[in-house]
Amino acid sequence: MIRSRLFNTQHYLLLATLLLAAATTSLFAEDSIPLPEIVVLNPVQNLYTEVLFDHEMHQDGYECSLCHHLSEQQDLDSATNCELCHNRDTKNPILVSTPRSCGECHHKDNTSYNDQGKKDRLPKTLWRFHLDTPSLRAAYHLQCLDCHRQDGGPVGCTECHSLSQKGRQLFYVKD
Amino acid sequence: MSNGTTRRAVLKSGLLSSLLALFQKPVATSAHQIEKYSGSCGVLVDLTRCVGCRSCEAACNAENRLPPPQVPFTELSVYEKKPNQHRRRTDETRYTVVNRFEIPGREHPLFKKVQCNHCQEPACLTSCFVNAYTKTPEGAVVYNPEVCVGCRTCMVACPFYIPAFKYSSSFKPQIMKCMFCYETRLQHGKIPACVEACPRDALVFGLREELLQRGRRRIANNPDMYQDHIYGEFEVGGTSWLYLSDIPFDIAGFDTEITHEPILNSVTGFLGLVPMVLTIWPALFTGFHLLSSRKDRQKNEDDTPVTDNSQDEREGK
Repeated sequence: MIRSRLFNTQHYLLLATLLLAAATTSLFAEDSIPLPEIVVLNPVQNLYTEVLFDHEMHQDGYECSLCHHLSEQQDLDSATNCELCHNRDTKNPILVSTPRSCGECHHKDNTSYNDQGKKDRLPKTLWRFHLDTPSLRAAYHLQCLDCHRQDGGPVGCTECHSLSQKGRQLFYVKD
Repeated sequence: MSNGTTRRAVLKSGLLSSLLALFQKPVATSAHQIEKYSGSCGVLVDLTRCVGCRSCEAACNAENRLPPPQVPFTELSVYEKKPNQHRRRTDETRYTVVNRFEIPGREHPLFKKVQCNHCQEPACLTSCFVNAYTKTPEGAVVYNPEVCVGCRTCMVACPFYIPAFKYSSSFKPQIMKCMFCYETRLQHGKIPACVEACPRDALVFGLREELLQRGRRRIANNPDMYQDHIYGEFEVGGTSWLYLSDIPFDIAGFDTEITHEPILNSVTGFLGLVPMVLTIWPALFTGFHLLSSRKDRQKNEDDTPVTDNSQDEREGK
């Protein structure tokens, strides 16, 4: 008797959860968010010009989480170890923080001397986990190039961005 | 001689102690326990990340005001290696080069950057008799051309064949090698030019101990991909530049037979003898000679009594 009632309660709970999930999904469904066609990527504009990233073309064939591996809308990409702590597990509220923009985790400079500052700001336990985060520029180049190499995308430096005047000078490229 | 010390006693004890020192075993030192330069910096090179874009080469060239390259740094034909050709190496026009290795079974070629590894116990520094080399607290092995006499012993001593001689100006000798951008950057809290130029963080600058942690973590997170070794952690007593690779290091052109002891350790025994041989042997053998010739001299003196006239007589004959 008691068992069956319990079962019923569970049933209701499950139904409620599913409804809630469905509501949330529809609220944040892909259609409701205006997705950009072209994204200008300019983490560091020094030797090369900015990249005009064709978001529309890439979103067709690939999972969003492949690049946006920690964004709120997407399932977490298990390729990084970030999701071990940065998940949406509400049981553990300390670890809920979910960064949205790439630059929140991947900093613009890869200068370790400045990382020393970051090291001072963070508690030692946290610093241990954030020891090896790629810089923003490296995050783009690692993500893009690895995928391009695998799937036959452009891999030459000047196929995605062209050399700036400073870059031409540094690489001794004649006009 | 009021204090009871005689010359004979001093000589005797000196000789005895140096003889004892001869037969004593040198104190064993373990390179793995070197704790010198605890706050020193380094660079972690991840060969799995390098795509051979040559940005590091270009940045190094500009930073050190080296002569313009024969072909632009965007040119990838420099990686083509003819059968009997050596791989590109550091010389007086370049402190760093990237080489391509075609590895059978690997999806992409492997690119390996070469430069001074900035050893913890540099053989070049040890071999230099005018002290032209210095190991700075930051970890850089820097060189002072002002005192260099151009003997090129450092080039022979270096286990990685890095120091190059500026043959174009032999009368003003200069060794050309990577200085870790010490003068222009490291000293002022900036990271080396090549590291800053790397677009994929294949080069990462940091404290050496931290880099070792990073390297170990990358290996632990990806044990199937990485070789379970950080090249430079122990090699020749440890180097500031550390390498991670996904293919065995010997195939990637690394010397895996290299000693884990500082190069210095293999010569200290011999070099310790040199001052002794130079100072004690002449005195010792002169003593022996004097002792053995003393009898003859005495005999001669006994046989021919020296008189005032004897010299004149002999000359007269």
